[in-house]
Amino acid sequence: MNAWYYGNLLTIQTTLTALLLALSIQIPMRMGVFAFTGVGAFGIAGYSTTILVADHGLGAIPAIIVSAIAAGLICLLWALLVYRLNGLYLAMSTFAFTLIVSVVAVNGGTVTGGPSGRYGVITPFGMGALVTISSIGLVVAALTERGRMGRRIDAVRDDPQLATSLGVSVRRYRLWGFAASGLFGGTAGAMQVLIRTTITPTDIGFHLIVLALTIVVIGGLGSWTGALLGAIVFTWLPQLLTSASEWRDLIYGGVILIAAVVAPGGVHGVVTGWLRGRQRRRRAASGAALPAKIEATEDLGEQMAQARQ
Amino acid sequence: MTATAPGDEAAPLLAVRDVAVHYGGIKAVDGITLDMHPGKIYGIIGPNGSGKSTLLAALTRLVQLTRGEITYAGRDLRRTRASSLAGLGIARTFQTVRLMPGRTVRQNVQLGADVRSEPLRRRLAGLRSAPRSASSSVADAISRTGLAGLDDFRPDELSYGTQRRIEIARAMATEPRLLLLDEPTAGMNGAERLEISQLMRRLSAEGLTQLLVEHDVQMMIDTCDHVFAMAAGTVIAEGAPRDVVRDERVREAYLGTRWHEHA
Repeated sequence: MNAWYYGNLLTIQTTLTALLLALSIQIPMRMGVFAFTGVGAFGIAGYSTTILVADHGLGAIPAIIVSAIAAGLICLLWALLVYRLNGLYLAMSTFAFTLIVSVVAVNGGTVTGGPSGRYGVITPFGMGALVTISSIGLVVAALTERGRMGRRIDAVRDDPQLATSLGVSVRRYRLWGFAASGLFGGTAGAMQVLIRTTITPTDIGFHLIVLALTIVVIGGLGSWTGALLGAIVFTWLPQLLTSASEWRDLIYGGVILIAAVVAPGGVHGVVTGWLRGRQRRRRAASGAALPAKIEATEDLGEQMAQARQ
Repeated sequence: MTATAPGDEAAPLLAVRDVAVHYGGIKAVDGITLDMHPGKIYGIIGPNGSGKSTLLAALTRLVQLTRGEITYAGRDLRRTRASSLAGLGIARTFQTVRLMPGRTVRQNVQLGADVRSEPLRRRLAGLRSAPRSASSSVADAISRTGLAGLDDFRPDELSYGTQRRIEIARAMATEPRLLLLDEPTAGMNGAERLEISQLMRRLSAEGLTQLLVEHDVQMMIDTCDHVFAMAAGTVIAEGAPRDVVRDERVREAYLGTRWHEHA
């Protein structure tokens, strides 16, 4: 057990940062916003943590907090800039946001270390802090799915006009969604640097968008459980497939393809679908059908005539 | 204003003055003036494309006014955000069923009651004024719209007429002062229509002001105190329901010219 734990420590840690990164895309998506700002935030916070720790001697936890809040604010500002866009155009603009972060990282000179990145971000940041912070993130994400806020977020996604008529400021929710994507993505990026002690422009590139999107789509868009399942599967799958050497990418792609075709609602969708089906069957078995409220009575016309008088 | 709407002596809850909504060259609503007094049920009839739904959208701030003004309880609605209206007591239903498919009947109705419940952060800050039971307004709305026993069903398990009742229940759960209903009984059978009509009369007796957009003339006559007939974006006649449907201009606009010669 101990040997296994230490042998796979990096994979376990990466699972947790991948989870927060996936949530950074899922939270705005639950509000109907297709945005990759969380991935850009991952890069921003990764570099800012590097600079704060390596150049200014800040501790790990303060560096995470400062970096995540800064990333959240930058995402909020970006959202204010591109808020008029919609759907695919909005997604493209946030895609541009992550590219800008990459370009700055490559051309940042000694501050970012240029194409070869920075090394030696060494802190006592350990598994305990990583698990605690990730759990807080997961609980916060889970709470937004419950009660009043959960219903209102669903309404913002399903029918913004309806949400507005029920007193929900769609704009305010969506802007918060961007800020949350920055906070979650930023926390993930900051912790990733502290785990690995290094950061390079390739660590924050295009593959992160693919990874985060794969996690939430295959895990299930609707719930944090989907993001958690997806994060576990897609961090461990490449590891398990290393033995398959040259077949690895093919199997990886095949798994995604099959999951997308067989379970379009993701793993989470399969489970909730099964639960609902069971509930329905149980109702049918117990004979509790829909109460027949309106009986077709013969004197219906008479009733209506009376009511009209 | 020449017509005498019921209760003219009191201040109207909603006053619409010369409201117009133009989409480019199309004058969907073009100069409408009307008053709605507390506790009364108003009706709007008119053929498709006469501007009924656009007027409702204008009242709920979903479209911009080209000109005119709307005053609700002494407040200029042009300066009010659309998302603030529910809190001020204006609720509406839509022409089509717009429910959250993944949620149960109770959760859908709860979404309406959420307008009145305090957000978590204020409850945590201890700023909650009086303990309010949001669940009672939900249970009330569910039972009064005849949805009792269906709380845990999902909309797609229920008939179209029942889904429409969920919409009405959701609007009622916001505890409105003004309820705008856009063809609420479309797709319902006669008995269900009668129930909705009777529900509206009871709500009216309790002081709720309502605006009903409806195609069914009989439903209009049974339910409304005062009817506005619209055609081509303007009000062409108004008054007691029976008088309005007998009006020559309304017959021409609504039923087509010369319909009465065959009748």
